[in-house]
Amino acid sequence: MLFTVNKSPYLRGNLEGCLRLAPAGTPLLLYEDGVYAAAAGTRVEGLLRQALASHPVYAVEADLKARGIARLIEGVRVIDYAGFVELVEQHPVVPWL
Amino acid sequence: MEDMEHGEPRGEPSGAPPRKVLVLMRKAPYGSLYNWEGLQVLLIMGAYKMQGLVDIAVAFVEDGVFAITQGQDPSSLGMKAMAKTYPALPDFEVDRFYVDGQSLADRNLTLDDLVIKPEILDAAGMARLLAEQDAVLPF
Repeated sequence: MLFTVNKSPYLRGNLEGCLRLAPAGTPLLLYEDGVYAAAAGTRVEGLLRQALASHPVYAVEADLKARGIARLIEGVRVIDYAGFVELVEQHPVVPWL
Repeated sequence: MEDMEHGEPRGEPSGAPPRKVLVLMRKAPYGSLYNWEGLQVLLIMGAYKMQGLVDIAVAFVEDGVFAITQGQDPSSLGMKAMAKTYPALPDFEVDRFYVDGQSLADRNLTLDDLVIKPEILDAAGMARLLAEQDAVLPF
């Protein structure tokens, strides 16, 4: 099972809701506005650190680059679109839109 | 004849004070089109300001502050870097920029991270800014 998050972590507790329900150990993929959660030093860093404690967390490189996000929270794995596809092939996807 | 005259004053300063309009940027730049649409409105409003009809300002709050961060490169998304347009807005008579300090702090951003240098307001300052407007257009 792969949880994919594409909304800003500052919106409506979106990421929070995902983390509350995602089973431990399942990978979490951040893309589009979801990648803002991977930036270091923000108000939501604690949320992502909590995610990293029980999930592998991935962020799509093109979306990070588009938004000028350079400083990432340690432990977040940056992947390209091929990596995105690979994850989707390996897991049933739960799009957390 | 009178009808024609009624049609003419459009675009002319009427003597009335310009209406105060605030474009309120609330959304991040690439995940949706809101920000792009807000920019289009700003460019259009600039034309009205040149005619003395409006007094236009822009405020960045919540995820809207992401619109003006440095280092954006959306080329791999096939999109244009929207942050590049903001420093050019004064050429279109749009030159009053404000940002919510709390929204910056929440996102670990400072003025040095931005492509423009807006005036930082606290919540009370932002509330005063909103209160003095004739119209607020949120994007």
